This record gives sequence, structure tokens and C-alpha cells, in this order.
Amino acid sequence: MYAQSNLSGSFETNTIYYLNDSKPGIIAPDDKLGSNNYFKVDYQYKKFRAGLQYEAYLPVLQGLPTTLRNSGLVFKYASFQDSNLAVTAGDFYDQFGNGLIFRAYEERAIGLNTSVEGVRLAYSFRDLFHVKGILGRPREFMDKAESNIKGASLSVDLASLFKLEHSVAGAAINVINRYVSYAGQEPVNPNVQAYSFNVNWDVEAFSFQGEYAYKSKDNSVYSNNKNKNGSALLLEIGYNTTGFGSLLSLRRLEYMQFGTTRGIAGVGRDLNYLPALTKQHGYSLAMLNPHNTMGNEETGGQLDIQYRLKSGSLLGGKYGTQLSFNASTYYNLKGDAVHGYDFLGTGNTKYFQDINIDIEKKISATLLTHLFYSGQVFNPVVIGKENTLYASHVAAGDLLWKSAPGRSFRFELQHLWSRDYLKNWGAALVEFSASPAFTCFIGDMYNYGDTGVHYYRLGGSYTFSRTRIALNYGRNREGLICAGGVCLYMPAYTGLNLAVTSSF
Amino acid sequence: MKRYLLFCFAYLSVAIVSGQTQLPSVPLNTLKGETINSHALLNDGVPVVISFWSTICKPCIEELNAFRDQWTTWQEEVSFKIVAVSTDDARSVSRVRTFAAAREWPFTVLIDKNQDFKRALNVNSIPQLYIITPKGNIVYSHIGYTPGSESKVLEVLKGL
Repeated sequence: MYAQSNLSGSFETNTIYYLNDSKPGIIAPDDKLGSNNYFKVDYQYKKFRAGLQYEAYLPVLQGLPTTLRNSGLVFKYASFQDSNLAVTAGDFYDQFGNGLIFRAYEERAIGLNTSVEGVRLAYSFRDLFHVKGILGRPREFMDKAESNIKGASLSVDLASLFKLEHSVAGAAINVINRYVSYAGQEPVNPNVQAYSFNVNWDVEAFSFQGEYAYKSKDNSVYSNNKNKNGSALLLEIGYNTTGFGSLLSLRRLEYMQFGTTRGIAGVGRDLNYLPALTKQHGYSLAMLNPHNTMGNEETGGQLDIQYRLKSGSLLGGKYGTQLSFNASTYYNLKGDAVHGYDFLGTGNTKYFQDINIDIEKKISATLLTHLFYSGQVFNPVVIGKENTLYASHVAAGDLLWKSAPGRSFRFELQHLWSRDYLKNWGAALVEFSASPAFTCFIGDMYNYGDTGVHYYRLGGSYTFSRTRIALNYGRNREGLICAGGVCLYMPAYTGLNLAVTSSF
Repeated sequence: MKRYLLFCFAYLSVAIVSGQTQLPSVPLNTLKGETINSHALLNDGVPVVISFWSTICKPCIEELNAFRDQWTTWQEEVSFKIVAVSTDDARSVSRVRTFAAAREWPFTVLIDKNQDFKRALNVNSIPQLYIITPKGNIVYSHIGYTPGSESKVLEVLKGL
């Protein structure tokens, strides 16, 4: 079933009017305004599809890469897709395996878009073999990177091939080549190859997936010109049954940062994807100091266990109770750059640790509560600062009260205890919702342990069909903002924020 | 400002002439890693509620929990299916299965790992919900979740 023809698209604006604010010492930019705008249109005719994305930074929001400037048609494509074959000419997004060697994607919140301009070809043979080839140039902000990439991926459905009953099993091999011309005198290879091998196996409640990646010598700024081979190993084991879910993830990275060129890597300049494998919390004080992956030297893992106490049971109560436990820890590698790193074991530098518990309990038809605790250790060396440890404990809770049909209030309280860095924080928030369209909130995050600054915010939103308009005013602290697993250090600002998103 | 107004005018000009009225054809993954096409969601011949969510989106999870709590009652009133499409990427996609199992969601959970389905439907923020007729027509869509808005979904389903 294909629509004969269809025109669709979306519009998004995130605009901030900046204000001077003497208390935290914030100075607004000269033109006071920052505005990121996206307009996307797609046209489909049977199996053909074409589209474009216009972006306008008028100018770019503070803290995002200033290389995002002016405006332009930065994404355009034409594609054909049927049940076996997919062809794209123009710009495209894609990922090989878990992204250890290649991921092209968009994350507007942090101004990231690493789409590739070129050709993409994918073919499936009897749903057993899937082969994919790409050729092109990665995007670098409003332009293209000074590099060419080519890649291929082959995956096999092993369960169907060997007629394994009650199992899902597959294997894939991926390869990427990045070419950057070099005319200097140093022994720099213009080509860097990266390979990865991925297997997955699911049987009944048990699941396993593993991926090993290898990257050839990469004489680059982001690896301090060490010119070493890189490797990555990711292992995930899960056991999931009704009412119970668990997952253990382990990952080791050695010289795996992979930029679109040999220059500086980072947001908008990475060819692969090495997200922090930690839990992203919904409470703001638990996200003050999130982990930032050390792509060239890191090992660690994460354990996630979730359980639902049955409704009607002694502990579950009338509506059941949701329990979630999560723990993660990351270290540097054992060894050093001169003598090499051990494959097993950890070094002496702890990068991050988080042990957290979340309890969700529906008390009655109109009351829902959350209780949360997180014990964290953060090392600012992961954001290029001194090698030391900040320890903190965060306790938080919220209460959702459905005061009348379609009307609800949410009350949230948080506290962070710490003897390090900015010491103690407190936060509170009240939100009112009138379904399905209207919400408003007022909240404050207060650092009473050191600076004495209040980060107050108030705002509201109105939604109709596929359009949402939100207007917020307040003071935002400086710090690491993470979206889609990538983090960007943002400056503090005070201002009025208009966000509109609409699709048609 | 002039460019900004032109930008808005261009959007409105296109928005009023057409729109996404049909379910696009995009490959998605099951929790076990198998690939299915989005059009296969229509095979049961009943309306389909598609909800885009992720493990780090609190209102998305509240919406899906609300559907779970109403599931048995609603199924007695109207025949339909719910498909929760996860937009989690490599950072958290492995937690999707853990999440869905522990919450005992009685509906289909699929993974849009490369976010192709999300882009094809022009979803910019989540949760975003669509109601699709058995013939693949989009008859209702809504961004965001506020407690109680699930009753509007039931109202639309009953009207089909």
C-alpha cells in the first residue's frame, strides 16, 4: 500500500531573547537574540520520495557552535524504496551496528547534524541477507567536511538461514573508510579504516549482543597525534520476562574517537557515536554533572534492573508498584599510552559512578508518586578540567494529583547534598495541566551551598493537533547539556524562550 | 526579522495546501531485532494508535502506562491496537526491552533506531501520537501528553 502522492513537512523554531542579569553575572549578547529555525518538506509519489531541509540561524543560540551561521538548504535528497531495494541520492542519515564506527544523525537541541551527502544503496535478499553501501562527504555545520567516506555493511539473519526455532540470531560486518588528503611531510596516512563485527542472539527471555570494532592508525588532533590503532568492545546481556527486565552492558574504548577530519572532533564533527552508557535522569539535580564519554580511553559498564510488584499483591497494593535500579561506573584503562593498555582491568582514575533507585507508586485513581535516589561520583577531567572527584547524593520525589477530569497538578521536590564544588542544591516545581492542550509551571533550582543563585523558571505551553507552542522565562545555569547521548557545555543565560514545533 | 517572517510565510503556504494523510512505508525493528514494514501494522484490519516514545521521556511513559491501565476496559468498548515506537538510539535502545517487560505493556513495542519512521512522519518532539485507520489514513494526531488526554484517543477510536 503506497499513497499516490503526498506532501508533508515540519517547522521548528527555538528563539531566545537574552537579558543581562547581574546576580550570576550574565551579560546578554549584543544583538540580544538567538534563533534556530528548521523547515522540512518531503514529497512522496508512490515509491519515490524527495525532500529538503532549510535551516536558518538568526543568529545561532548561545553556546551552540558559532559555525552554524546564516541560512541555507543544507539537506536535500531523492530516494526510491520498494520491498528489497532502497536508493538515496543526496543527503542521508545512517548507522552501522551500534554506531561504534559510523553514525550520521541529527540532534537539533545541541546543533548537531552529521548527515552525509552522497549515495546510499541498500538491498535485501530474501530477508536473509541485507547489504548496504554508502559513499559521500559528511556535513560539517553549514558546509561539508574536507573528507570523503565510503562504507559497506552486510548482515545475515542466522536464525532463518539455519532454521533455528524460538530464536532470533544475526551477524553483521561493517567497514568504513575515511579519506582526508595530506600533502605535508609527516608520516600521515590519508586513509583511516574502521571495521566492526556484530552478533546478536535472542532465545526465550534471554538476549545477547556483542560488537567488536577496530580502527586503523589515525594521526589526528583529537587523538593528540598519537597515531595508534583503536578498538572498542561492547557486550550486552539481558533477561526479560513479564514484570521483570534486566540488562548488563559492558564497554571498553581505546583510541576510538573518530572525527570527520583529522582536526578537532566533538559535537558536529564526529563520524561515530560513543554515547555515555549511563541512565539519563528526569530530575534536573541528578543531571548537574552527567558523564561524558572518554572515547580514547575508557572502560566500564551499566546494570539496569526493573521490576513491577503485581497489583493486588501485598507490596504492590491495588495498582502495582514499579521498581527500577540502575548502576554504572567508568574508569580509565589500565596501562599508559607509551607501553600500551591492558585489555582487562581498570586504571586508577574513576570517571563516573551512579547508583540510583526509582520507585513509582499509584496510590489511588487520582494520586501517583515517584521517589528517587541517586548517589553519584563525577570526575571533571571528562570535560577537560582537573582530575578530582565530586561526590553527591540526590533525593527527589514528585506527586501527580488529578484534581478533576482532565485537570492535574504535579509537585516536585529535589535536594542534592555535596561537600564538593558548588555543594548543596535544592529545587522545587509546580505544574498544572488542562488536558489535552494546556500546561504551565513555575520552578526554582537554588544553589544555597556556594553561590546563592536562584535559577527560577516559569512558563507554559499550548498544543493543538500537530502544533505545540511553548513560552518560558527564567535563568539557566551553565553546564553540560546532553541530548541523544552527546553533551555540550552551555553558558548560563537569562531570557525569554519561544519554542514552536509543527508538522503537517 | 524580514527573513524570519518569510520563513514563517513559506511554512504556512505549504502547510495549508497538503499534509501527511497516509501512513508512510518505513522499516522498523521488533524488540528481538527482526525487521517489519510499518504497513504490516495494518494487517489486523483494526485502527492503530501509534505513540512515539523513549526511555528518557517521562510524559511518554506516563501516557503508555495510562493506556496499559485502561487497556482491558477499552478493548471491551472498541477494537484497536497500540504500537509504541521507541526512538531511543544506541545509548538506551537496549533498555527498551527491559522497560517494556517490566511495565507489562500489553501492546506492540517497536524500535525506530535510525529514526527513519519519526522523520517520515515529521515528528519533532515526543510524545507524539497518531491514530491510523485500517486503510492507512491518519485521522488524528497530537503532540505531548497531559494526564487525561488519553480519553480523547478513546473518543476518536469510537468515532471510526
